[in-house]
Amino acid sequence: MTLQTSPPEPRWQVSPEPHRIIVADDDDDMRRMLANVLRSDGYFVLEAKDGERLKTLIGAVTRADGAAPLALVITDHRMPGMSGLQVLEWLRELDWLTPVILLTGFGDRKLHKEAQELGAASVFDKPFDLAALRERVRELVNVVA
Amino acid sequence: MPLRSTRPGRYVAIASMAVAVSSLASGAVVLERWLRVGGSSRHDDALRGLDLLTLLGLGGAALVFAVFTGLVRPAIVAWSRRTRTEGEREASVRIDRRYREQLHALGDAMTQMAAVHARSREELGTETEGRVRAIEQLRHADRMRTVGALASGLAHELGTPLNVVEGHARLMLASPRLGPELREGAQAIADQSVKMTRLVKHLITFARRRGPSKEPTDMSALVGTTLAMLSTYAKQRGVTVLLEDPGDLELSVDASTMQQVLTNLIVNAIQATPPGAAPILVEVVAPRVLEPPMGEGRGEGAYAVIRVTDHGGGIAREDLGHIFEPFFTTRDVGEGMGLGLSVAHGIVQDHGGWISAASEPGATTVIEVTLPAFRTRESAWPRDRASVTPPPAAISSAAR
Repeated sequence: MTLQTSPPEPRWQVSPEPHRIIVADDDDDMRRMLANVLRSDGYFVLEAKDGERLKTLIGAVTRADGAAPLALVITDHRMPGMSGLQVLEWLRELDWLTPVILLTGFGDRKLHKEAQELGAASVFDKPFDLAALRERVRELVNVVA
Repeated sequence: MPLRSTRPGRYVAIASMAVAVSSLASGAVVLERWLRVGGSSRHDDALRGLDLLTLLGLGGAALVFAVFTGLVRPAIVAWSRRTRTEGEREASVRIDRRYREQLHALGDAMTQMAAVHARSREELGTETEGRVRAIEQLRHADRMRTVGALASGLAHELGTPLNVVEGHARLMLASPRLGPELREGAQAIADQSVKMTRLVKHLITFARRRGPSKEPTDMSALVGTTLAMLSTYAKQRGVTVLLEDPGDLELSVDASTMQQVLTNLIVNAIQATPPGAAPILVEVVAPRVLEPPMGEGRGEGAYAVIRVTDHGGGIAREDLGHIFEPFFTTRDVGEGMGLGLSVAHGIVQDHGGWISAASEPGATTVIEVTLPAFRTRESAWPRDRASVTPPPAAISSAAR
């Protein structure tokens, strides 16, 4: 899978603002890498380093008037304080529209099932196929748009 | 008891007797003359006396000699020999009569003891074999757990860094300012990361073996699908795969993991077989009532067998005991992690079956997957494992 080297995405013509994506992971290297890769794909990416900050960020983005709606949340499951799954549960009390991708290093069957029941769009086990993740992000964001 | 002497003894005796008789005769003549003359002179007296004594002595000695050499000694020898032989014969006859029954009884007892000994040796052998097998099972399970924990830990530790490395390589590749040399480097980093990611995912799958979700499955169809899937690969390598399937075998299995097992076994066989060698044989054997090896299966019951035979040079004797161990591989580094058979072993065990390997080093390898048949009318299954019937329809994978 090769990356586009210039940004002539047709999305820019459709939507005046880039899609907003929040990436949450307590592993700084992982979070920055993912955020940067998604930025290079043309998204507006916000970062959160734990569950509490993720909640705050989601609240801030969805309340912000005039801002583009939150296109996607990508969150690690295992984070200090609040797990990705707990954030997902909390988010589902607010709305069922925002797509969520859960990343996990411990993706057992139970966790996959719980995540699906809470309406997670996808669950990716670490190490994940980066190309597949980017493809999935593209699909989800375009559905929302 | 008649006296008998040996032939030379008899001649000596006759000669001695003749000497004795002549001596006695001479002695008698001298005696008669001496009595008639009545002692004429002193000199004559002395002479006559000497003659008489000499003749009598000679005769006596000859008689004694004759008696002992010619008659008595051989007779004694013969008599003693006879006595000994007859005594022995009589004694042995007596022993025979007296002890024959006891000897027979003793012999019987010893035969019985030997039989009991042989039986207990055999039982001990079976028991030891069973115990060794059970210990092997435990050791294997233990190794699997250890390796599972290790693999899981390692995979989780490596997972994130691998993703990070690949991600940054992709970011570099996305930059228009990257020169061709650096671009090549970034591409290599990305590609290698992807390769490592795949290996780590394989490890995680291995470590995180889930319980099978079993449902009635048409095994014949499953084997057929697997062969069809691998037919192109087999063709590419110039290998023929034959299927021998009486059809209609339905087993309760997790189709996806069981297909993984079949794929693994058949791919191994294809890889082992040189182009143009004798075809690989995949046999589906209808259920039979079997007594599983100790520590395997779920007790006596109906089991079906799927057997893969290849003529790819067999497995070295020293390797045969290790092929189901995780990370055991005879391939070169980088050509697989040696988890395939170990995973297959685990999956088959999760199904309540067992997997076994036999090999004739330098020639053939036979891997058998034995799975429990779930039909309740077990009496309907034939006992004993029958030999496989000739193929009703041998299907070449190339023809599929």
